Amino acid sequence: MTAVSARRRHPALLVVEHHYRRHKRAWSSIVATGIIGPVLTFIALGFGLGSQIDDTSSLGTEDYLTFVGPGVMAGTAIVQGGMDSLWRTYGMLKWDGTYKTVAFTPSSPAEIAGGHLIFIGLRVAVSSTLYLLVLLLAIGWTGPLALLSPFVAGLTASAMAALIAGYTSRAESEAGFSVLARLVVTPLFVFSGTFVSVETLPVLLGWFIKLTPGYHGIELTRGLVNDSLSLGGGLGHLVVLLAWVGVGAVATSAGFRKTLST
Amino acid sequence: MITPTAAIRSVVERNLVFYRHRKFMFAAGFFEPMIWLFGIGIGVGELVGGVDVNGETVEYGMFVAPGLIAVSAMNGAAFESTYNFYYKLRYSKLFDSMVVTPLRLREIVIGELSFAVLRSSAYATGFLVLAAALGFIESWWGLFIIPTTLLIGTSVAALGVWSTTFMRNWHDFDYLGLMLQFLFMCSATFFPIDVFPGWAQAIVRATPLYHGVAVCRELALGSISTSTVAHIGYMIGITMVFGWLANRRLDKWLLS
Repeated sequence: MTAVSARRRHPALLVVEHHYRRHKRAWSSIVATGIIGPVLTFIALGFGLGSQIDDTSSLGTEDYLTFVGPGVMAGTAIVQGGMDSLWRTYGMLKWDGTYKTVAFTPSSPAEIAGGHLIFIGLRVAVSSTLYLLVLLLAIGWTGPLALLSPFVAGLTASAMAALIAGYTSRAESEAGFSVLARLVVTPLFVFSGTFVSVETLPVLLGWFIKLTPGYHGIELTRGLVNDSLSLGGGLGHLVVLLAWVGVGAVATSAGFRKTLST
Repeated sequence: MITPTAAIRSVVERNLVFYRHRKFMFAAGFFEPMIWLFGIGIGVGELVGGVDVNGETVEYGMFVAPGLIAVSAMNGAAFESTYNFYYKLRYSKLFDSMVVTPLRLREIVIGELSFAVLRSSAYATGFLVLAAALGFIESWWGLFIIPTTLLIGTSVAALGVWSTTFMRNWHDFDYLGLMLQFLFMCSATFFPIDVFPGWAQAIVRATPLYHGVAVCRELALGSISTSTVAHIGYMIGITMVFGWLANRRLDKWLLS
């Protein structure tokens, strides 16, 4: 008995393991969306669009490449985290019965939600590490802090996933998802400081963006990659990011509880 | 029996009825390129002095807006001829229900693709009005952007349905999404492609969207030349080739 319980893992980690095993079969398409996609955006906008940019004074970086490179890493985390919480999460709760089945095991809905959010964070952290390699090849070694940026990307993805899953896990149907994808996730990707400084946005929009987890994820990632962060500033971004992960995790757990107990 | 025209019209009508109750879902596809227009065209545009088009320097917004009209045409047609087409065939089994009515397979496909083109042109026309209101369309030639988007939509629908016949599962659509992203970002939409090496330019020039973007831009700026005609000719060629290829594969694939 003791031997068995010593080997037994936390229920949330079992959910993580479930996702890992499921994803192993589809690794190539995950590589495609998680790495090739952002690399493509980086090359197209960093080199292509970057070649057209004359005035880099508002960016706060040396050139457009070093601005947009880290921006795309964290921006992709916004998209991956947000999109994961739409059809895929809803499907696991309502369509394919995965989480209904898991709910019959000793795992509680909160643990299932926790494992779910940890996995998306890990997945994005892994794909961001590979993206970081490409980025550093293009812009050169910037310092050891850059190595922390994939974790920030993972946190950003978890925060976005948690906030959106807080809605999807309660949704009655999938009718609103394409609207959420196009009118919430895409705008957050484009306007959170990925391609241009948030300071250039209209004032009200800028204020709103500064409340969102994606903005703090992007600023922190960019600061780490370019080694341009003050300790206080960096910790500030991290605290906001963690707070959003917490708020989202509570909302998602409650949503999972509601859906899985009926 | 019903005439082929009536059959095709009834398939288009089914789609119209479907979206009548999902207006917001339909409209969302129009707003997405708009977000890119504001984010990149206007946002990043402030950092760009001007872009060179056929030897003439144009303001960045005027460079990007016509390109995004072409993109919105591509998106509308691509969505209907790929994801939705596959969903109706394999998941909702809509086509299975349709073939037991007097509709013939050929009419169903043509009807679905006609709706794809209509959807694409609806987005593009809406986007054209927005771009004109923002002052990004300089010439009355810009009105010809509407028929151009019909051609872009048709070429993308042909290419889209052809590639859908190769899809084995939803994961394969991730690669399709990557292709669409490549076309969206690299078809001279946001920057002239001469910043890329020759081989990369050759790849871009082979795709229909590059030519669609070029025609929309030349019409918007009113700088029509023989190159405009060449771009249009290339798109017609691509449409015919992929329409033929798709036609050959579809019967076998639909009945499998």
